[in-house]
Amino acid sequence: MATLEQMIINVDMTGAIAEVEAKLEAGENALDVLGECMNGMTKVGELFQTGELFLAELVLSGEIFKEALKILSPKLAEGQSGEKKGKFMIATLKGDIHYLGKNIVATLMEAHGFDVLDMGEDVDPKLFVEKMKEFKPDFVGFSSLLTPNMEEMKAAVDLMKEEGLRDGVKVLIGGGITSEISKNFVGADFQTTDAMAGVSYCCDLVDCK
Amino acid sequence: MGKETMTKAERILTALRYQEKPDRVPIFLDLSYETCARLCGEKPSVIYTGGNPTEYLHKVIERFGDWDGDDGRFNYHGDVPPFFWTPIEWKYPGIDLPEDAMTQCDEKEFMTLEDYDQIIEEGYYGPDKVQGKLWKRMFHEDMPAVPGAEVLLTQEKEFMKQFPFQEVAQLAGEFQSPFFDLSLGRSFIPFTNDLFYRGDLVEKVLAKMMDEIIEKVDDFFKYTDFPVVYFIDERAGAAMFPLRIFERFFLPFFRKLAEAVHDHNGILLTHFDTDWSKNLPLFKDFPDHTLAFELDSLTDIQNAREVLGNKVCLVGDIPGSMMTYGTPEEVKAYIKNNINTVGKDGGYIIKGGCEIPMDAKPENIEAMLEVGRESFY
Repeated sequence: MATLEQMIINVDMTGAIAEVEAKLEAGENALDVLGECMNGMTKVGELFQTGELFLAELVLSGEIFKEALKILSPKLAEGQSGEKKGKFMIATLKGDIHYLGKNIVATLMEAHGFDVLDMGEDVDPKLFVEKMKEFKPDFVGFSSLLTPNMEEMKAAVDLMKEEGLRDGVKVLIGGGITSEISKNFVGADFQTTDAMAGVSYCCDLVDCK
Repeated sequence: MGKETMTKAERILTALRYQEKPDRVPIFLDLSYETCARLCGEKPSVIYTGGNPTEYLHKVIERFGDWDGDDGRFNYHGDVPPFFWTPIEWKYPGIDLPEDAMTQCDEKEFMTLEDYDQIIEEGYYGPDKVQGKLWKRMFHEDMPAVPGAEVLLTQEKEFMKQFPFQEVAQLAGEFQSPFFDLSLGRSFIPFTNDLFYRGDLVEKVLAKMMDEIIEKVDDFFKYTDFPVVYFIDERAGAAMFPLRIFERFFLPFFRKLAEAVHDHNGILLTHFDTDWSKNLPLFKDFPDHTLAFELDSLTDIQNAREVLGNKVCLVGDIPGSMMTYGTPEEVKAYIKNNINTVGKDGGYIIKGGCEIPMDAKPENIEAMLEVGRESFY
């Protein structure tokens, strides 16, 4: 029989959720079960980066993870939800309402042990930077499918500089229209069109292992 | 400097057919009305708040000079005929979005699983079918009647008389891939769930929808002088789905369409956004000189030429970010490299990746047109 980790890799939604429930019923520690789910997600990420799995499988495994988390959350005693690897804040900025890429990155970052704040879509750069002061992220991400949105990303980065917040964070940008040129224009640290590459970039810097 | 010896339509058809070289490399500019407005110093919202869209296109042609044509004839229409309508909600600058934003779709789960059953039973396209039901669900009114191919093409011909590229405005139909339509209508994650966990049902829906499209294509070919069918998919490629999904849910239906177009001695010009590199080998056994692929720079166009050989015309590829942030020299060098590699034997059309971004620099558009006008074979 496949393990929970393998079920997540195989995007076997029904099997994985049944397995999570069965493990809890059998008295297994919720934190250990969560750990197995996260191992499955890490493996999915690795297989995605080597081209053996595809975006659809990355998304579906993320959906399984979210479902599993819903079941596990009440059982995870306060303070036992696992040590967070770092804080990640993400948004699609003003003038862009696309959310798919942003949501995928947010789910993957959560599955890799980050504390994630998703600010949503069409977010004013000023509001985003204001919220940074409270959340104190280690990484911020901007996702977009529209070239005019690079101006908003640049505005957010410029504002971070004005507010003295830029040095403390790594800025990631992503989306089909981003490139090395737009990374330089925005003043970001990292650019990708591959959600998992963004997660790996953050993981490498905080040592996710 | 060479001399033009072909009409715009001959130039484009020769490049698309890719059996001989055209007189020079053709140019598709693919400007949205919003981009035209912005190039005229207006905010894009003007298009949706009383401005006259065609007026801005005329001004752009006056400023930059004309080009050879475009991929879809409906680029020039403010309203897309209902047949091509996809059940997705659009947000407009000046109405739902800031005045200087681009029109965007707000992807939500708009189609239900019950709609699948009804498509299999009754079909999808038309006011009296599922498309009409979805229209009513979204706009709370009846879907307008859809004119037949003959009427549609006559109306289009009349409308396009005002533009210099009117002769190429008679494509034999413009269709969105059923795979793409369902992915938008259901929205990405529910549709991905459907593909993985309800495959048999989705397969039947896609088969029904493609049969309906092929009927329409057969009809369009009766009335057009420009035998090109335009087909759009931005979701089925390996950038998103494993090849086993592509081979089951896209390829067989696309093959059926390509064969139908081939039977009419036509060309299937397909807009493939995102990276399709892994999918390309699976098109190698399609009928020769029937396919043309429009790529958006995420698929490596040089690799595409190597994989597909001299049987498939390649179109587009200029990265949007280069048009916005690059220099005219970079744009020219990029296009010249494409012409010298992908297009050295013909079979290449200059065009932006997907479309020219709304904030493209005017001097980069000029550079793009200049290279095309000077690139004689």
